[in-house]
Amino acid sequence: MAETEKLLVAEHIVKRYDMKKKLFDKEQKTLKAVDDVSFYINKGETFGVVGESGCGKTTLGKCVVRLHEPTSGKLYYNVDGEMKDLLNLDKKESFEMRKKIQIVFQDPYSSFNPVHTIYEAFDEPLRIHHMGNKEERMEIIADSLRKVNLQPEYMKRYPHEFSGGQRQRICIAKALALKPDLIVCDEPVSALDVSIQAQILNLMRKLQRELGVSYLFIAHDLSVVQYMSNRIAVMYLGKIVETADAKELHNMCLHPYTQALLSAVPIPKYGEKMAQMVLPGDVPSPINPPSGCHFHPRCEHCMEICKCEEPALRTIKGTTHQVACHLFDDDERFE
Amino acid sequence: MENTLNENVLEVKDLQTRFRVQKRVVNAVSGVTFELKRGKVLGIVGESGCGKSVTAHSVLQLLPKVGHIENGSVMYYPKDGEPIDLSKYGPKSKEIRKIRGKDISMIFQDPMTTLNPVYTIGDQIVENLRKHEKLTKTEAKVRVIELLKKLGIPNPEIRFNEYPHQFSGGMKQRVMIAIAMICNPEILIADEPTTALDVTIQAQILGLMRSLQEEHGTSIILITHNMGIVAQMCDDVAVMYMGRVVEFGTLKQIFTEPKHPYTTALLRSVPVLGMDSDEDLETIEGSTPDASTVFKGCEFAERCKEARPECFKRFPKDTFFEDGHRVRCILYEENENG
Amino acid sequence: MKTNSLAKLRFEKFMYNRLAVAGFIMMMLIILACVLAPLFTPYDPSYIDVTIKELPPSSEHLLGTDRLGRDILARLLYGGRVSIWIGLSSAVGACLIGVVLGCISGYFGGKLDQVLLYISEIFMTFPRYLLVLICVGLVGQSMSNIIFIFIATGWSGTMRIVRGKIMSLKQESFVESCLANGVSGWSIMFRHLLPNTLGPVIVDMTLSVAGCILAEAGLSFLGMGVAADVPTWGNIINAAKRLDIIQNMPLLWISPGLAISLFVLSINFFGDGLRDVFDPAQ
Repeated sequence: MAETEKLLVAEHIVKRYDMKKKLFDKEQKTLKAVDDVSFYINKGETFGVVGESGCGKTTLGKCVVRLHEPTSGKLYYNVDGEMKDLLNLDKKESFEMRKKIQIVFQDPYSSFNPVHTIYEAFDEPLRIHHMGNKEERMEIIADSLRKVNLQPEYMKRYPHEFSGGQRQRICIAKALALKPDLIVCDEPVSALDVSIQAQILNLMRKLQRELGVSYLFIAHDLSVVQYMSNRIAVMYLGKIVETADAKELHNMCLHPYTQALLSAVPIPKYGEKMAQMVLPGDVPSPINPPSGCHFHPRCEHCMEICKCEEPALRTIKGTTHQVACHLFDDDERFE
Repeated sequence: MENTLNENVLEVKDLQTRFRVQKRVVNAVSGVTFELKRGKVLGIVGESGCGKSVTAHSVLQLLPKVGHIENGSVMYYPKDGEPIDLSKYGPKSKEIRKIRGKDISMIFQDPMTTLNPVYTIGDQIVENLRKHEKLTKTEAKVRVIELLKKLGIPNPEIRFNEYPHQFSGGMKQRVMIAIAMICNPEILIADEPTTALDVTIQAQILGLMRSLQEEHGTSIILITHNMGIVAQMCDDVAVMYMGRVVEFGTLKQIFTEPKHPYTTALLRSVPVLGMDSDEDLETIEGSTPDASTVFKGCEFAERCKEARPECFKRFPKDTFFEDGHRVRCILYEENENG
Repeated sequence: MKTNSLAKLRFEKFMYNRLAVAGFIMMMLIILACVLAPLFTPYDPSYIDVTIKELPPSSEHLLGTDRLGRDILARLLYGGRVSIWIGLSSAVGACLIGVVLGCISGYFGGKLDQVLLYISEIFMTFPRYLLVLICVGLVGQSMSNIIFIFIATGWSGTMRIVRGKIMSLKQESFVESCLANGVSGWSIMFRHLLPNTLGPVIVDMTLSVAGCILAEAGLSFLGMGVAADVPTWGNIINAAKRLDIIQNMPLLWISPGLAISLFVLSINFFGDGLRDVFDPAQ
């Protein structure tokens, strides 16, 4: 079946940062921004990653576009049916692959060099990836601007002449210009106003229908991620705690953290009061995460085993729903 | 029965705030009217640049140098005492300084920068308390620790002597609330208090504000862009666009029978949890105009789906419905006439 | 709209600052007068004619003549050429070195950055005047010596400015976007980052032009600057430091003194105006 062909498979991705050793530190401190994360993205689908600040979702996205080199793990990418290991390519191939995975950043204001016109910003990646001669490149730029409902004449202008929403469209257009299969969207709408947010989200969905690109959609806003994604991974302190279909996550999420996250989202409807399931405490520092299940100090179902043993991510039989929680250790629904 | 006590604790009438940037004049707030009922929460919603923050800052005259109140009145009705028009006092006058932090206090968006890093948390709260009330240091400390405990800060005796960098974002916002609430103000103005925080922490802070409000009977002006927070927290809602209140009403009126096209679109443009992801979101075309744009007609007309030629030619008037619900839109004026 | 409207915006902002515009006009007037000196005065600044010595101002000699019968105005204008040339070339030279080293230091960071920082610190700790005095003692007085020393001691400030700016720009998403597309490091450094640092660098350069001119005048006044027979503003004052001249021929020292003050003041106004334009906080 062509539709469920996998585009990207990430296996056991770990990204560790060694902290500077201070004078009296006995041990080397390390920060595990991403800790043993595995997932896959199908062709033409949106895979959402949601979590609070410091959960490692942005680092994960940057590992996928190879802005960061993962400390360990494998990253396979589907090139015409052949799964290539992205982290073990020669220099030329690695450069070639960069155009296939593009990234859209959170802040539309810092995404552009203020001294370059939109044309210059678009042209450079096209030029170094040998996408045609000058006229052809010009046509590609005009075409991608049209795709995001902007006039091609805008390419002569400077970034400061555009509003935040327009800039974010231009960012998407710039990513599209290289004809990628996968676009990593790192909080693409969180810096925008609500009315502009809706424009961008609709645009992204339209482009996906027309061009068949896949998105890795990273955001902290659960309602946005749930609206955009086919499947969602919930991250907490560098680990995926639950993966499920978007619908299923809303209707029958199992992990206590996911439940708390869902109940914390204020619902914009009259008379629907928030479920009173307020998580106590703060997100702990990823430098010294709690032992065992990282979530146990804030969890109301905390058991003895949670404090010492890390739960494994287990799949419910016959589905793609995965949960990492000791509550379901004896549950027969799991494989 | 205290009949003399006004039902409203704050009445803002036709408030205009201007900014002078180089030679340009920008009307940040042009004719805003709203009422804050005693012991209730009023939400002011709108997108960035709609003047919601400037409105709140105008109430306490906390405007930057280039800004000033051009027109209008801000009537404050204290529980005991004569009503005061805050807009008549200068931004540095003794009268307004006495009110700031004591009768009306404010919480800002970014808890990371509003605390002074070189003083301990305790000092900063005590400072505000002793400015307005004659207390010895030990008395003040006792009261502050009591409040910190109530705000859910663990080990308040130890945390009292700690510095802001030792606090997480959510804890800092709790401290900000402590500074604002220590004198038991009648009005609390919260300017996007949870925007910089994570959702789970946001839920904590909102819950906290709710319980404090119920306990002390504080009236709150809550400024936010998040319709979800409005729905969860507010009793009355003012929707702002381009420096004007386009719709004002109770929570129920705004959410169940919104009248203004902007309110309607705003409500439908946010994805809601559990929403069917096959349907597109409703969008508001274009983007917010520049603040210095001069309008001849309704500010929203060019983005409005129901705009008529008339909308571009003249300013709409407020149309009143039952129970104080009012809308600033030409569509409803005609209904009334016809 | 097709033109660089960011530049246009900045130009408008600059024109709004009257003091800066006045400074710019004044500066250009002085530079033009010096460069086009032959148009304003027919005399040779070094031509000695004792028959017309110590003349008071007249229509022929606008500022009079000195003890050797040289025209003061001519000496002032031709002297300005040398002074301004020293100021400009040392400021530009120092800036070039500072920009290149700052770019490398800020972009690559790490060990290289540390080493470059140490070197710049070493140069900062040398007192300028002492260094000049030693060099002059070793190789003798000359204009190129002075410029060389001004450049050698002047680049570290610019380097620090550029380094800091590059380090903060490196965090911006557009740089990450370049990296994600495989754009090379040198291209990011010089095509993307460098143009963004030019604002503060230009400001720094204008202000250091003023500093160099003052330093040259000071050195020349001490007799350690440019050779005494070459007219510079500093040398002219140096030649006028005898008591009888100070008392009897005030024009001889007032006019070069005024020229220095006016020029330095107008450059500083201009530089401050530029700073306001490039400062995003304003």
